[in-house]
Parts: sequence; C-alpha cells; structure tokens
Amino acid sequence: MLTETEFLVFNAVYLKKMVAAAQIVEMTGIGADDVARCLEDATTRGWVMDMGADGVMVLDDGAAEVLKHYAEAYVQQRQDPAMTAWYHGFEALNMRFIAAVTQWQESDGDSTAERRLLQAAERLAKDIALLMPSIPRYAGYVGRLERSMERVDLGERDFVCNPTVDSVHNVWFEFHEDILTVLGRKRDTT
Amino acid sequence: MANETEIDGYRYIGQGYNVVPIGRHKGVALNVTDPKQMIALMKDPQKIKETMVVTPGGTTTFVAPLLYKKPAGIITYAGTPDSHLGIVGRNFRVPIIMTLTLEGAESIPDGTPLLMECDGKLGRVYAKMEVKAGAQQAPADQSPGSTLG
Repeated sequence: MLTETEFLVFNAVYLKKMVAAAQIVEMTGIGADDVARCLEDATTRGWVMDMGADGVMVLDDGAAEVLKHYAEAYVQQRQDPAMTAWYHGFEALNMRFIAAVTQWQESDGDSTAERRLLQAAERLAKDIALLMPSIPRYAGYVGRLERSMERVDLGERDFVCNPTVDSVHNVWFEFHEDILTVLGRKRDTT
Repeated sequence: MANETEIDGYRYIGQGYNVVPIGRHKGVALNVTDPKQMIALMKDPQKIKETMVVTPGGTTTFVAPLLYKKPAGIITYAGTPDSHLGIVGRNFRVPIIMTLTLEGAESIPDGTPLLMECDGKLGRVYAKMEVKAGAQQAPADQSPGSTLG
C-alpha cells in the first residue's frame, strides 16, 4: 500500500492526468522535495511519464496503483449506506453547478449564473465537511474551494472555470473524480 | 451556409451537439482510444494542431490533457455540452462536437480529412471519405433532443 504522501502525490497526477510538480505542491500542501522524490520514483517504476515542461502524465500502471490504494483504503466507505446517500445528494448539486457554469460561460459572465455557481460551491464545501470525519484529507478540497471562491469574489474571472488555474470548476471536477473513486463508481457523462 | 450536403469537397457524415459556436474548422481524423495514443500525440505539438481527435468517451477525463494543446477539434460519440468536457472545451475555445451520430458511415478512419461546422446547437461533420449512397443529407438545425438521444 502507498504511504499517505505517495498516495496524495500520485492521486493528484491521477485526478489531473497531466500535472506539473508545482501544481501538486499547491494542491496537496506537500513539500516540493517530497513531491519531486515521489515523481522520480514513479517515473522509474513506469507509473508516470515525464512530459517536460508540461509536468508528468499518469500511465496505466500508475492509475492502477492509485485505484488499488482507493480500493484498500476505502472498503468501509464503499459499504456505508450514508456515503451512498451523500453521493446521491451530490449528484443533484452537481447538475445544478454544471448548468450554472455552462450558463455563465454562454452569457459571458452573467451575474445570476455566477451567484448560482458560487452558491453551489458553498453548499459543496459544507457537504464535504460532513465527510471529513471519515475521509480527513477532504479538508484539502474545502480549503481549495474557499480560496477559489474568494478569487471569484475579488473579480478574478479565471477562477470560475479556467482549467489552467485552481478554479472552482477544476476543484469541483477533481473532487467529483475523487468521491467516485472512493465509492468505486463510474462517472456518467456529466 | 449551414445544412449543405457538401462543403469544399467534404461530404456530410453526421451531426452532434456543438459545444462552442466558432464556425468552420478543418483537420485530420485520429481515433484516440487509449492513453498511449494520447501520449504519442502529445509529444507532437504540430500534429495536435492539425488533428481532429475522435474519441468514444463523453467525459473530460480521457482527453483533458489534449485540450491544453489546442487540437484542431474533438469529436466524441457520447456526452453533452452540459458536462465537464463541455465546460473545459468552451474555456479553451476548441471545436468540439459531442455525441456524433454518423450517417452513411460506421466510423471515421484515421487520416480522414474532416471539416467541423460548429454553429448553433448542432454541429455538423463533413469528411473526404466514402459514404453510403443516399445517406448523407444534412438535416436542418433542430433542438438536440429531437434528433439525438
């Protein structure tokens, strides 16, 4: 089984598919030296591929290691009816969020759409807190959501859904991938 | 002009949901179905810009890294613009047609020259390839739900 540090680093690569070391440091709060060591090790094992300035990309063997860790670490969560119920509630919230972001994009930043997507993100941050006793590392998503919402409030539109920054949509998407994997579920097309 | 059966020598082969209304774009088809193909493509920045990636999935997970490299276009056989892939694609302003329904063809072979017409709710795909006779009639633009499941 991976160590906690290894899991957090490789999970970041798994969720983003391709990511630079500096982004992993930002996402996880793990020191740059430890991130570099993990990535060097993963490259040697054939779990990730060095893509130069683009960072590293997850390979099949690396994804398999991450999925194996999820399966071993979250046996109880996968059998917990409360987790399943939580996820069903999230699905409805996810639909509302995606619709609001889509409307925001198509309207070139409509203020009503922006309010709706931020309300959904605030709600998600509160809902994630309910999962933290069972999955403490989810505190990281709450912190990232709050920071990205603050940037949107300050008028930085990139932090709504630009994939190149730690935007509300980016954090949301990664959390969605994460909870799906915790529960051993497949993503639908949204 | 929309709804043409042929444009610049490209013949209509099908339509799907249009993600970004950004007009006509040309490229060459490449079916990408596993990460190794994607990595090979990622290492060739010039080829990416000329490539219209054809992928089965409708989620952003598989093709997301390609979007950063601005491919000529992306065509999927599943998914809708109200999805994470739609959101990311709109942000990068990459031509994307989702849930393509082919008419008169069962697949798009690698290397096929393609033209994507990305106007309105439905995007149309045209190709320089063999198409079954009588099958390629570009329909009028309609609401996606009326023509695509």
